[in-house]
Amino acid sequence: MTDATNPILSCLGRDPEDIARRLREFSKSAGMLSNDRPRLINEHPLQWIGVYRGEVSAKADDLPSLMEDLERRGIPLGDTIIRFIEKNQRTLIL
Amino acid sequence: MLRGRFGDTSGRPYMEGHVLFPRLGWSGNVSFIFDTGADTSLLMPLDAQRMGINYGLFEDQESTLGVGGASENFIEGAYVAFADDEALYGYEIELRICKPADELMTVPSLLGRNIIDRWRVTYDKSAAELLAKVISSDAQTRLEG
Repeated sequence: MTDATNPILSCLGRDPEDIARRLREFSKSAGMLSNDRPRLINEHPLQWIGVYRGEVSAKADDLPSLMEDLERRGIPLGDTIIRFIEKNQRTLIL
Repeated sequence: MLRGRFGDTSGRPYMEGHVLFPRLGWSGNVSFIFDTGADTSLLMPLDAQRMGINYGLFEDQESTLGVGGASENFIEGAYVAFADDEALYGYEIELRICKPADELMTVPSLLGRNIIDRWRVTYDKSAAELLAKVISSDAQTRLEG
């Protein structure tokens, strides 16, 4: 469907290029978390980290402190991937 | 073609999407676990917190069943968008939102079959390829760049 009057597009599509660009950056950040995991375990063990635009932008020992730091610095939480860096990932069965 | 990825050490399949709650105005990007075993998509507490969700504003909830047993989740109409090099694809779904709990803060959100069923999927872990060809969407707009 490409109808410009589509209600989804009227919300999502106000600036589709911007949404797509932010999604690509977010995917890049998520990929960095996956690919650099050994380094992250070495540098930030048992810490919460926020990755924005492919770089670790903040770190903290607890989640509320991390969120507070990101917000204070004006880093958009919706575009930031946040993870707790466990030394040994727990097995996940969903 | 939408591109997902596999976690380097966990091997978990992920796909990133943009979530918007039109009634409430909250939005954000989410890295979903690609979960063909989930009947529907589920937003977990960490992603909900990043999006600034106020749980008191949800009006509906339902009981669902997972490996951890039954749980109560909120339900809210949402738009979820995915992008490839050519287009932005939008889906209108009822998104489940998991109630917050400390032990769930490290669990990723789930992309379930209410969206996956509308794609043709290539899942090839050995080639590190998680690809989805969009068969249908509720909205689609071409990207210039």
